[in-house]
Amino acid sequence: MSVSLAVTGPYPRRPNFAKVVSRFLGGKVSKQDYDRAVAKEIEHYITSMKDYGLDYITAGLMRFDDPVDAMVSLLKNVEKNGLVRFYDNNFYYRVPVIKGKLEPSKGEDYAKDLETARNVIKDLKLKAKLKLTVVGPLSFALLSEDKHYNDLKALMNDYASAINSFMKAEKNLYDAVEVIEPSFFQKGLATKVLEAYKEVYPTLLEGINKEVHLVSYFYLRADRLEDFTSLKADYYGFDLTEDRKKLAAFVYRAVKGKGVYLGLLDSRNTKVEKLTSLRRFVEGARGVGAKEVIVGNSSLLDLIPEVIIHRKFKVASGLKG
Amino acid sequence: MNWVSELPVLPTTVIGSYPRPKWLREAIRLHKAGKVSDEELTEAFDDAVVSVMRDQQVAGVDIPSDGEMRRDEMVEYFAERLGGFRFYGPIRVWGTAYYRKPSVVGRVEYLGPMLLHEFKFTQHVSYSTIVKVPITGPYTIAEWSYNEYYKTKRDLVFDLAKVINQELKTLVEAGAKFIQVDEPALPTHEDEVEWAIDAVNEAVKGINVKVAMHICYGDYSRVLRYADRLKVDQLALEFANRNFEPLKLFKEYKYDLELGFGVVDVHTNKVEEPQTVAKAIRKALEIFPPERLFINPDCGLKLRPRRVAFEKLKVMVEGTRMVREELKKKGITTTSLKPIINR
Repeated sequence: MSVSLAVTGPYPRRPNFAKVVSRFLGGKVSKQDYDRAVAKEIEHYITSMKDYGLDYITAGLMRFDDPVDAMVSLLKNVEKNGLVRFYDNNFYYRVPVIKGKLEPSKGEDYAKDLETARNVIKDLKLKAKLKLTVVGPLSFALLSEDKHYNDLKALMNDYASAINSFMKAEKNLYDAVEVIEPSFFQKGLATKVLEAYKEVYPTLLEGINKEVHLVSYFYLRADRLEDFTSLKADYYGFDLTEDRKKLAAFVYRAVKGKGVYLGLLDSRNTKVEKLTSLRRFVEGARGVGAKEVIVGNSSLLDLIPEVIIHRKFKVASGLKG
Repeated sequence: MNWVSELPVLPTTVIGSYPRPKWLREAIRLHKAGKVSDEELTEAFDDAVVSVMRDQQVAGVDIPSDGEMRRDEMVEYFAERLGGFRFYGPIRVWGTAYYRKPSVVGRVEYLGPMLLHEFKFTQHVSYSTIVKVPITGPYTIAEWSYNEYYKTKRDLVFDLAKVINQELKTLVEAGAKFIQVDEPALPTHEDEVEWAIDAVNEAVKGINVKVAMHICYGDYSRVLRYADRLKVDQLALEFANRNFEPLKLFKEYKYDLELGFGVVDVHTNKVEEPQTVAKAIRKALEIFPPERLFINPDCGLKLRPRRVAFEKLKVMVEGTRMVREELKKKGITTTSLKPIINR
């Protein structure tokens, strides 16, 4: 069994590109020039990662302020409101305010960026599969301000259905789907909410015949692992950066016979991991019979400087040697 | 020490930061490009402090600050001046806003005074005998840095508390009378709040002048449940942005220290009405005795246009004066800066 290497979620915007974003938002750059700058940024990102032997890569979400913002671009009847802390990070996102029934929008910009990423991968002759990044229905619902539904399950269901429409419409642009669900292991989540989520989750992936990576960020709770791995996915992803030794044992038990994504490259610390340590965790997962193992970043790469991202992936590329 | 009993009741103050004048931003840019010397930049900083001091004087603020003109960012500034930190590059904090998040790569060391020059200059040009000196607290510096060196965050925080304490002692020796420890990150992790408060207490140990702690963007109940452990005289908090809702928590938790009451929202350019400010203060006075209430904006004003920041300060002062008139009729006119906690 070999180890795969993957990037999950967004890749940081460089400050110079951010200046273009500001100028575009201020009406000083045309949409055409802005699209060109986004494409260039995606090209920079994928090209800069090309030597690490990645098996999976994302489109980087450069155009969007954060993953939630990317999802808002795929929806109708949502407005963006004030800045709120993204979980417990010193990183802020704009809260989506749901003002009416969630319906799919065309999502042309996101599709354009997937196409750019796909072309760059092809031009560079990389073997990496392109993952479509979507925020899971649970996290989206909990990160939003609901002014329409007053019913979490209905909100999650309409969201899942709208995102599913985009996934179906653009199925030729990506090879795999990654569903990021940071809220799944969050404290204080009612059993009722989890049960509702389990019912809604299949709607998100209905008719999508692609590899599915279900990835959690930031938190991990042993008592919810069984619920998590009961959801249909090819790979289950975990942030293994805090209390990793303790939690890894639970994760290993839960992924027996399944594909696992080990978020071992800490996206919240500049300390670069040791190859020996990464190997140990991979061996641990193998030892309990994980079907396949992917190693990658633990959460948003936006949370560490770009130079550190490269140091971490360079070390991780040693796993493939 | 003479505790200056002449402060008017409901003293008005600031949280700290104020918009940098456009010409200062330009001078900083030119300095980075090598076109302005260190000496010229220092002069520009000094001139900027004089300017913002004047804004605060015209607005009628009782206890001004230097507007943090010399500080690019509240964690960066200290990490650049302490041993044990390094910077790898900018990271995004939202949208298109970046900061240089430092990494702790060795034991944190005090290399010498960080705010002494800033304080002395501010004191020298101030129209008021009391100025507020904001300093980022140990927990926030740790939480907003990467930890590559310490085994636990707690170890890092307590080492930072020691160096902050050293700095505070230097400032008090130089005559500082009002210190504000900025801890916006303190309520971030519920399970860390208790020891984070202990760390702040370590940082202010032996500091027998007025000490406030500023918090924003968080669940105050996480802090208030440990109110009896707090060794600061005052919590200076954001309220206007939350429609003053958290006030009720202070009753619930039987908080009996002072409150720095945030009466203008720093996240919007809309300038409040003085009547709105007065109404909010009256609401706070239902819970706090007048001698335990200071009036301030929700947070630093640096992200607002300078004109808006100035107007907000003016409105804050006008609203406060309305309530002072009402208190005057009851014979309440002054308050004291004397610390209420023995540290």
